[in-house]
Amino acid sequence: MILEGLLSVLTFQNLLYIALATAGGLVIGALPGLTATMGVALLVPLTFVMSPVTGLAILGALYMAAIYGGCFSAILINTPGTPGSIATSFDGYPMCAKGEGERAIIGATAASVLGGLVSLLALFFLAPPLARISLQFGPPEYFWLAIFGLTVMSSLGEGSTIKTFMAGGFGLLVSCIGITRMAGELRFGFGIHELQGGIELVAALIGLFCIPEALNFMGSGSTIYDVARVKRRKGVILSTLREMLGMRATLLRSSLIGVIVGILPGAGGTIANLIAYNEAKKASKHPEKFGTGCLEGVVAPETANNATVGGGLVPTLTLGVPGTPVAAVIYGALLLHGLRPGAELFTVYGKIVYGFMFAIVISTLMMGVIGVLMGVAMYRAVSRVPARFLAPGIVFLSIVGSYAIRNNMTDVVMMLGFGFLGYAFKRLGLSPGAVVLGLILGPIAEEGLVQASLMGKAVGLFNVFFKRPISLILIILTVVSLVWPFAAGLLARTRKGGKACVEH
Amino acid sequence: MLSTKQNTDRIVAVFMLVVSLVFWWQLRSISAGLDIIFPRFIIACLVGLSLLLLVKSVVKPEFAELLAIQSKSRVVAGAAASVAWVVFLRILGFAITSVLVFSALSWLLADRSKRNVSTAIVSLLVAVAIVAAVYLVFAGFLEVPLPRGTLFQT
Repeated sequence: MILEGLLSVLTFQNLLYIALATAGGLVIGALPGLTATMGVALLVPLTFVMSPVTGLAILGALYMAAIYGGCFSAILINTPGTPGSIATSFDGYPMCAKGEGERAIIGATAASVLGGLVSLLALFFLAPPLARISLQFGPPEYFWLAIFGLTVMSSLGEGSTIKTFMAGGFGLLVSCIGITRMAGELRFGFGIHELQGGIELVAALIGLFCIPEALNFMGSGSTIYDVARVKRRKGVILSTLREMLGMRATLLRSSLIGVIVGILPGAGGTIANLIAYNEAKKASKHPEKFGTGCLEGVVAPETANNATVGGGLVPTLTLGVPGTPVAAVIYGALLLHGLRPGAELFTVYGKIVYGFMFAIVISTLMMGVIGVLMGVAMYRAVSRVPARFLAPGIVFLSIVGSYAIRNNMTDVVMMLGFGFLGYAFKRLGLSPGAVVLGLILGPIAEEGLVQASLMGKAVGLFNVFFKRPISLILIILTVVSLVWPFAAGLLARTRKGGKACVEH
Repeated sequence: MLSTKQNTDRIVAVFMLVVSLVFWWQLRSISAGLDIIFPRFIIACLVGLSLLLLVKSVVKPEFAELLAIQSKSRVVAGAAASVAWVVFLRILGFAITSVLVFSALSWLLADRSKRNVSTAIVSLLVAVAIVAAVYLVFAGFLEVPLPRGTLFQT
């Protein structure tokens, strides 16, 4: 069955389609506003006329490539192409500013390929036990996962921790705008009926990252985009890969984070890159280098966000419960092709499903080659584009991208509003990344809190929030995450003091 | 001599206190229940952090030159162009608005000494090319409809 699946994909036509879908996915991921979900959803009708293997192969290839493609705009113009690349911009853009954009792109590519392959291995061999873990996650676990995710904020701000948490709190508050999911009541509408649908995350993300970048650039008075100074280095590919061999622990940890976050339905892949970045920074011997243009700061989030692909497909294929929004679209495509997720998917339709999984593996490998070529070409092109076209271009793509989300002008207005707010926030030392984190985690935290509170009416709030095994693990991780920066600082100061004593 | 640096801690603290107050005021219209717990908690945290920052703004303030921008006029022009882009998108539609605003903005961002007719023509041609390419990709290939504008709606 597995061999049949592999052979069904290894036809010239399928390989060509996979290559085209991979290239298309890279472009979609790179353009702010176009997400993997949108790309896969738009492609689904085209697969009706294809065989199930070919159709699903294209969708899987585009999915993996689009998740990776977000790193291009994150590195080159500090504007994450997808929510999964937010953390990539923290070090990717500074690397580009130092003329090391090629190194950043190569690192991001290799990390994405590795993360994708690890998650697909997990999908092939560990799908049933991982699916069982995902079933253990209930509202209390989602609440604590969101709280743990919020501790990531401490690594997002460049300056004051208080301001970073305030930015995150602002994001959490703004995420409450709209009709509530529990009681269906409109909250914080301010008399504007367009706010009934709440704040569209991707529109806010584009605004908070793209518009300030364009305005900053206009305000710099520069006529060339001298951020992307190209420092051509011979053998940069091999040297970067060699450097990554020394980051094995980061690569493995980030892959696991991506797989685990990916298997959790509703958590989405957006927080995986942020958690992986935070954990890599905490584990690093030189955490002060994160945020200044350090390769590990690119590798960790990119590994994690592509690792969510396989992770997200675990509950989708085994239980029919999508782990990520894109997996939900793929679930729909599976049904359209007559396949029902569950046990019989791997037996009755084994050839198709294994063919689909092998197609994603092939796409991941192709992504490595196509990605490096495209990424380096884009990097060199961006450095040659006159600034007077680049800044309006960023604004233009932001407007188009935010409109394309829901074909709604409200999202464009929201995007621009958040853009001006983001510009002001950056000048005041408030982190736009923390605002976005609040926007992402607010709904997860609130839904978990409210549903767990309802559960607590039957069995007691304490039992619900503090006596479940996975909740306890998440609470411990949260406490460690909060305490670690202080403990590490104290440890470092104690060691310095000890050394000074010895020297005396 | 007047300092050009502003106390950013104080500005942020006051801003967040105002935001908290506005959102708290809005909570009146929501019936008490599960929908009120989470926002109330966040507002309380935000107020607490704001007060902490207000104390810090006195004890150990953080200053920054908020208006230290090389070219303020370009930022204002860029912001105004972005607003005009969004406003006229609804009226004139995607293609016309984008070509006009893109070419105007790219001409304005050129070096002062190079702002002439030929630069304007180049800006216009580049704008047309980029808008056409994006239109083909979005409306043509991806079938994402772009705004036609109320002026051209039948």
